[in-house]
Amino acid sequence: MEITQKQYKHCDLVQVTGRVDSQTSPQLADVFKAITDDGRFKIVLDCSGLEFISSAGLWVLVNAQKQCKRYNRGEVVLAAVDDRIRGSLDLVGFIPYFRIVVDQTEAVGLF
Amino acid sequence: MTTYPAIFASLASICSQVRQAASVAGFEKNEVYEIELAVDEACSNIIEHSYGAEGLGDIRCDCIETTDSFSIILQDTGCCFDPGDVPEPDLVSPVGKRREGGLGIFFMRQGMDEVHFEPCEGTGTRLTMVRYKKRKIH
Repeated sequence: MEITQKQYKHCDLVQVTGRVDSQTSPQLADVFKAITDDGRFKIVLDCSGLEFISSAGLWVLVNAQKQCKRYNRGEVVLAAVDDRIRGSLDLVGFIPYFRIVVDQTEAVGLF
Repeated sequence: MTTYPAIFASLASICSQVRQAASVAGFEKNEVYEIELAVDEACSNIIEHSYGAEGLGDIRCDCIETTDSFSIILQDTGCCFDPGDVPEPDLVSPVGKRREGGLGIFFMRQGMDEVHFEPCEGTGTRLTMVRYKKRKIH
Protein backbone atom coordinates (compact mmCIF):
# COMPACT_ATOMS: atom_id res chain seq x y z
CA MET A 1 0.00 0.00 0.00
CA GLU A 2 1.12 3.50 -0.78
CA ILE A 3 -0.44 6.74 0.37
CA THR A 4 0.07 10.19 -1.09
CA GLN A 5 -1.44 13.38 0.27
CA LYS A 6 -2.14 16.86 -0.97
CA GLN A 7 -3.59 19.71 1.01
CA TYR A 8 -5.96 21.97 -0.94
CA LYS A 9 -7.48 25.22 0.32
CA HIS A 10 -10.83 23.61 1.11
CA CYS A 11 -10.00 19.95 1.59
CA ASP A 12 -7.32 17.29 1.89
CA LEU A 13 -6.78 14.76 -0.88
CA VAL A 14 -5.55 11.31 0.11
CA GLN A 15 -4.69 8.79 -2.61
CA VAL A 16 -4.30 5.18 -1.60
CA THR A 17 -2.95 2.46 -3.87
CA GLY A 18 -2.54 -1.29 -3.43
CA ARG A 19 -3.93 -3.38 -0.59
CA VAL A 20 -5.56 -2.08 2.57
CA ASP A 21 -5.70 -5.04 4.97
CA SER A 22 -4.96 -5.80 8.63
CA GLN A 23 -1.26 -5.14 7.94
CA THR A 24 -1.61 -1.80 6.19
CA SER A 25 -4.88 -0.28 7.47
CA PRO A 26 -3.26 1.23 10.62
CA GLN A 27 -1.10 3.41 8.33
CA LEU A 28 -4.20 4.72 6.56
CA ALA A 29 -5.83 5.37 9.95
CA ASP A 30 -2.73 7.33 10.99
CA VAL A 31 -2.97 9.53 7.88
CA PHE A 32 -6.62 10.36 8.58
CA LYS A 33 -5.82 11.00 12.24
CA ALA A 34 -2.99 13.39 11.41
CA ILE A 35 -5.34 15.41 9.19
CA THR A 36 -8.17 15.60 11.74
CA ASP A 37 -5.74 16.25 14.62
CA ASP A 38 -4.61 19.25 12.60
CA GLY A 39 -8.18 20.54 12.62
CA ARG A 40 -9.10 19.64 9.03
CA PHE A 41 -12.22 17.55 8.48
CA LYS A 42 -12.91 17.67 4.74
CA ILE A 43 -11.16 14.75 3.11
CA VAL A 44 -11.26 13.20 -0.36
CA LEU A 45 -10.08 9.61 -0.57
CA ASP A 46 -9.08 8.78 -4.15
CA CYS A 47 -9.57 5.01 -4.52
CA SER A 48 -8.59 4.76 -8.21
CA GLY A 49 -5.45 2.80 -7.30
CA LEU A 50 -7.01 0.81 -4.48
CA GLU A 51 -6.80 -2.87 -5.41
CA PHE A 52 -8.20 -4.50 -2.28
CA ILE A 53 -9.75 -3.52 1.02
CA SER A 54 -10.67 -5.88 3.85
CA SER A 55 -13.08 -5.24 6.71
CA ALA A 56 -10.19 -3.77 8.73
CA GLY A 57 -9.79 -1.12 6.04
CA LEU A 58 -13.52 -0.50 5.74
CA TRP A 59 -13.66 0.27 9.47
CA VAL A 60 -10.82 2.78 9.03
CA LEU A 61 -13.02 4.60 6.49
CA VAL A 62 -16.03 4.48 8.82
CA ASN A 63 -14.03 5.77 11.79
CA ALA A 64 -12.56 8.61 9.72
CA GLN A 65 -16.04 9.54 8.52
CA LYS A 66 -17.37 9.43 12.06
CA GLN A 67 -14.59 11.76 13.21
CA CYS A 68 -15.08 14.21 10.31
CA LYS A 69 -18.86 14.35 10.57
CA ARG A 70 -18.59 15.61 14.15
CA TYR A 71 -17.52 18.93 12.72
CA ASN A 72 -19.57 21.37 10.69
CA ARG A 73 -19.61 20.19 7.07
CA GLY A 74 -16.81 17.78 7.74
CA GLU A 75 -16.89 14.68 5.55
CA VAL A 76 -14.86 11.93 3.89
CA VAL A 77 -15.85 11.67 0.22
CA LEU A 78 -14.82 8.58 -1.73
CA ALA A 79 -13.75 8.98 -5.35
CA ALA A 80 -13.20 6.44 -8.14
CA VAL A 81 -14.38 3.39 -6.22
CA ASP A 82 -13.96 0.11 -8.11
CA ASP A 83 -17.12 -2.01 -8.49
CA ARG A 84 -15.70 -4.83 -6.39
CA ILE A 85 -14.92 -2.49 -3.51
CA ARG A 86 -18.31 -0.83 -3.89
CA GLY A 87 -19.76 -4.36 -3.67
CA SER A 88 -18.09 -4.89 -0.27
CA LEU A 89 -19.34 -1.51 0.99
CA ASP A 90 -22.81 -2.42 -0.22
CA LEU A 91 -22.85 -5.90 1.36
CA VAL A 92 -22.31 -4.45 4.83
CA GLY A 93 -24.60 -1.45 4.33
CA PHE A 94 -21.85 1.20 4.38
CA ILE A 95 -22.88 2.89 1.09
CA PRO A 96 -25.32 5.42 2.63
CA TYR A 97 -22.59 6.61 5.00
CA PHE A 98 -20.41 7.97 2.17
CA ARG A 99 -20.79 10.17 -0.83
CA ILE A 100 -19.15 8.29 -3.68
CA VAL A 101 -18.23 10.25 -6.80
CA VAL A 102 -16.67 9.46 -10.15
CA ASP A 103 -13.22 10.98 -9.67
CA GLN A 104 -11.10 13.18 -7.43
CA THR A 105 -11.85 16.33 -9.44
CA GLU A 106 -15.57 15.98 -8.76
CA ALA A 107 -14.86 15.16 -5.10
CA VAL A 108 -12.59 18.16 -4.52
CA GLY A 109 -15.23 20.35 -6.20
CA LEU A 110 -17.78 19.37 -3.57
CA PHE A 111 -15.97 21.34 -0.87
CA MET B 1 0.49 -26.86 0.88
CA THR B 2 2.40 -23.68 1.67
CA THR B 3 3.26 -22.53 5.17
CA TYR B 4 3.34 -18.86 6.18
CA PRO B 5 4.22 -17.19 9.47
CA ALA B 6 1.00 -16.09 11.16
CA ILE B 7 1.65 -12.37 10.86
CA PHE B 8 -0.35 -9.70 9.05
CA ALA B 9 2.56 -9.18 6.64
CA SER B 10 1.79 -12.69 5.29
CA LEU B 11 -1.71 -11.72 4.16
CA ALA B 12 -0.60 -10.36 0.78
CA SER B 13 1.40 -13.55 0.01
CA ILE B 14 -1.38 -15.91 1.09
CA CYS B 15 -3.90 -13.94 -0.96
CA SER B 16 -1.55 -13.98 -3.94
CA GLN B 17 -1.34 -17.79 -3.78
CA VAL B 18 -5.14 -18.11 -3.59
CA ARG B 19 -5.75 -15.48 -6.28
CA GLN B 20 -3.51 -17.32 -8.73
CA ALA B 21 -5.11 -20.70 -7.96
CA ALA B 22 -8.64 -19.27 -8.27
CA SER B 23 -7.77 -17.66 -11.61
CA VAL B 24 -6.35 -20.96 -12.89
CA ALA B 25 -9.59 -22.65 -11.71
CA GLY B 26 -11.45 -20.37 -14.12
CA PHE B 27 -13.11 -17.83 -11.83
CA GLU B 28 -13.74 -14.35 -13.19
CA LYS B 29 -12.11 -11.23 -11.77
CA ASN B 30 -15.02 -10.32 -9.47
CA GLU B 31 -15.28 -13.89 -8.21
CA VAL B 32 -11.54 -14.04 -7.53
CA TYR B 33 -11.88 -10.82 -5.50
CA GLU B 34 -14.68 -12.33 -3.37
CA ILE B 35 -12.56 -15.43 -2.74
CA GLU B 36 -9.51 -13.30 -1.89
CA LEU B 37 -11.58 -11.26 0.57
CA ALA B 38 -12.82 -14.45 2.28
CA VAL B 39 -9.25 -15.73 2.63
CA ASP B 40 -7.88 -12.41 3.90
CA GLU B 41 -10.61 -12.21 6.53
CA ALA B 42 -10.10 -15.85 7.52
CA CYS B 43 -6.34 -15.42 7.97
CA SER B 44 -6.77 -12.14 9.88
CA ASN B 45 -9.15 -14.00 12.23
CA ILE B 46 -6.65 -16.85 12.68
CA ILE B 47 -3.94 -14.38 13.73
CA GLU B 48 -6.22 -12.29 15.95
CA HIS B 49 -8.39 -14.99 17.48
CA SER B 50 -6.82 -18.44 17.10
CA TYR B 51 -3.32 -17.25 18.02
CA GLY B 52 -4.40 -14.08 19.81
CA ALA B 53 -1.47 -12.08 18.42
CA GLU B 54 1.01 -11.99 15.55
CA GLY B 55 4.04 -14.27 15.37
CA LEU B 56 2.81 -17.13 17.54
CA GLY B 57 2.65 -19.85 14.88
CA ASP B 58 2.03 -20.62 11.23
CA ILE B 59 -0.82 -20.71 8.75
CA ARG B 60 -0.82 -23.55 6.24
CA CYS B 61 -2.71 -22.86 3.05
CA ASP B 62 -3.76 -25.33 0.41
CA CYS B 63 -5.98 -24.82 -2.66
CA ILE B 64 -7.74 -27.79 -4.26
CA GLU B 65 -9.63 -27.65 -7.52
CA THR B 66 -12.16 -30.25 -8.62
CA THR B 67 -14.33 -30.27 -11.74
CA ASP B 68 -17.09 -28.30 -10.04
CA SER B 69 -15.52 -26.61 -7.02
CA PHE B 70 -12.53 -24.78 -5.58
CA SER B 71 -11.55 -25.36 -1.96
CA ILE B 72 -9.17 -23.48 0.31
CA ILE B 73 -7.90 -25.20 3.43
CA LEU B 74 -6.33 -23.05 6.14
CA GLN B 75 -4.79 -24.75 9.12
CA ASP B 76 -3.39 -23.25 12.31
CA THR B 77 -2.06 -24.52 15.61
CA GLY B 78 -3.69 -21.88 17.79
CA CYS B 79 -6.59 -22.38 20.12
CA CYS B 80 -9.66 -24.05 18.70
CA PHE B 81 -11.95 -21.48 17.15
CA ASP B 82 -15.70 -21.78 17.58
CA PRO B 83 -17.63 -19.70 15.05
CA GLY B 84 -20.70 -20.16 17.22
CA ASP B 85 -19.13 -17.69 19.65
CA VAL B 86 -19.14 -14.94 17.03
CA PRO B 87 -22.30 -12.81 17.03
CA GLU B 88 -24.08 -12.01 13.79
CA PRO B 89 -22.91 -8.65 12.41
CA ASP B 90 -25.15 -5.63 12.85
CA LEU B 91 -26.06 -4.61 9.30
CA VAL B 92 -29.09 -2.55 10.26
CA SER B 93 -28.10 0.18 12.74
CA PRO B 94 -26.87 3.54 11.42
CA VAL B 95 -23.27 2.94 10.35
CA GLY B 96 -21.81 5.54 12.73
CA LYS B 97 -23.41 3.76 15.69
CA ARG B 98 -22.28 0.23 14.90
CA ARG B 99 -19.69 -1.56 16.98
CA GLU B 100 -16.44 -2.07 15.06
CA GLY B 101 -15.53 -5.60 13.93
CA GLY B 102 -17.51 -8.76 13.33
CA LEU B 103 -17.55 -8.61 9.53
CA GLY B 104 -14.85 -11.20 8.86
CA ILE B 105 -16.98 -14.34 9.03
CA PHE B 106 -19.78 -12.50 7.23
CA PHE B 107 -17.46 -11.79 4.27
CA MET B 108 -16.21 -15.39 4.37
CA ARG B 109 -19.77 -16.74 4.14
CA GLN B 110 -20.72 -14.25 1.44
CA GLY B 111 -17.71 -15.04 -0.70
CA MET B 112 -17.78 -18.82 -0.32
CA ASP B 113 -20.53 -21.45 -0.58
CA GLU B 114 -19.34 -23.61 2.30
CA VAL B 115 -17.34 -22.63 5.40
CA HIS B 116 -16.39 -25.40 7.83
CA PHE B 117 -14.34 -25.11 11.00
CA GLU B 118 -13.03 -28.29 12.57
CA PRO B 119 -10.59 -28.89 15.40
CA CYS B 120 -7.24 -30.35 14.25
CA GLU B 121 -5.67 -33.34 15.92
CA GLY B 122 -3.73 -32.03 18.87
CA THR B 123 -4.31 -28.33 18.68
CA GLY B 124 -5.61 -25.70 16.30
CA THR B 125 -8.30 -25.42 13.69
CA ARG B 126 -8.73 -26.55 10.11
CA LEU B 127 -10.89 -24.18 8.10
CA THR B 128 -12.23 -25.41 4.79
CA MET B 129 -13.94 -22.94 2.46
CA VAL B 130 -15.51 -24.11 -0.79
CA ARG B 131 -16.68 -22.06 -3.74
CA TYR B 132 -18.70 -23.83 -6.44
CA LYS B 133 -17.77 -23.04 -10.00
CA LYS B 134 -21.47 -22.68 -10.81
CA ARG B 135 -22.77 -20.84 -7.82
CA LYS B 136 -26.27 -21.33 -6.51
CA ILE B 137 -28.04 -18.01 -6.12
CA HIS B 138 -27.97 -16.87 -2.48
